[in-house]
Amino acid sequence: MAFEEDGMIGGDAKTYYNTGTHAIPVWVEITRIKDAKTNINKKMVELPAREGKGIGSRGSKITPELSFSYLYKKGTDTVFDALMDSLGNNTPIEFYAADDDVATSGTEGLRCVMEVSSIPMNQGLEDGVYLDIETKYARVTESDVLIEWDWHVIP
Amino acid sequence: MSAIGLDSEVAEAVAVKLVTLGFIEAVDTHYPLPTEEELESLLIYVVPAGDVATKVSRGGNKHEIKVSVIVTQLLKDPRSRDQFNVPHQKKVDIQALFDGEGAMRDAKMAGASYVGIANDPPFNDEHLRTNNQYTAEITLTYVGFK
Repeated sequence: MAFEEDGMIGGDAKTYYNTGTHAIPVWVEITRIKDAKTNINKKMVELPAREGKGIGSRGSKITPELSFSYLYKKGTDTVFDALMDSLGNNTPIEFYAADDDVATSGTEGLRCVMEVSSIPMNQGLEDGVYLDIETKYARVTESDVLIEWDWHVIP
Repeated sequence: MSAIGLDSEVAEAVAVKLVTLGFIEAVDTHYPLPTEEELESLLIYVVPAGDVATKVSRGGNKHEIKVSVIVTQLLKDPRSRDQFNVPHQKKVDIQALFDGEGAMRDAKMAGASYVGIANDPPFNDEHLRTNNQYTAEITLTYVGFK
């Protein structure tokens, strides 16, 4: 009668960033995330024509998006440093927004190289200080090969 | 305690985990009504405290399960800070299991995920005044889908 995997809460998901290479990733979990949101957004191109009753569309390029709120802390914070480096120096970061532990076979989620585009800091009077990180899909090559986003499943 | 309710299953799983971590000696399967003699030693037990189910999809419910960890002991001298600190320290140690890298923070109980902890008031003032008994209740909230 115990609970089975019939749903999950966001708190059990895990988001990682890659400190290795795309070919040989070294995933580090970002544990200070509160909420994360991914979107895999396909641009639809309308193809209107005189025939038919409606205006049909066909898919074009697909662009992933990742945003998350990050609990700020004072002092040393390697994740914050990496995010600021990406914002200030256009350094790409590879993220893996996974549904479980990266060491577990069957874990899946969006894996994509992103560049941080926005780091607003919310300093509410009686609230925790959070950074609402926004990222954009980055065009990056490794060994002259374009790194594409993918829905990555741990084998 | 099988198949008599999801909150009972989660409570039993929490008790089993507390046995593993050395807080409880063994898991009993009866509702605890400790005798005065038993209360002279520190007693920690886990009881189910409710299951609120909400329909979250056409095919299933979200269950918000509450279980209570009770930490209790009769104090020979209720004004002794040292005696008070024995059960109180255990209660604080159990709460710490859910902080940061604590052993129970990411541990699922009977398939349900930990989402919160509440203990208001930190200990029962009336028990202490009338029975010389320290009693603290730590209410844990778990969420599961079924």
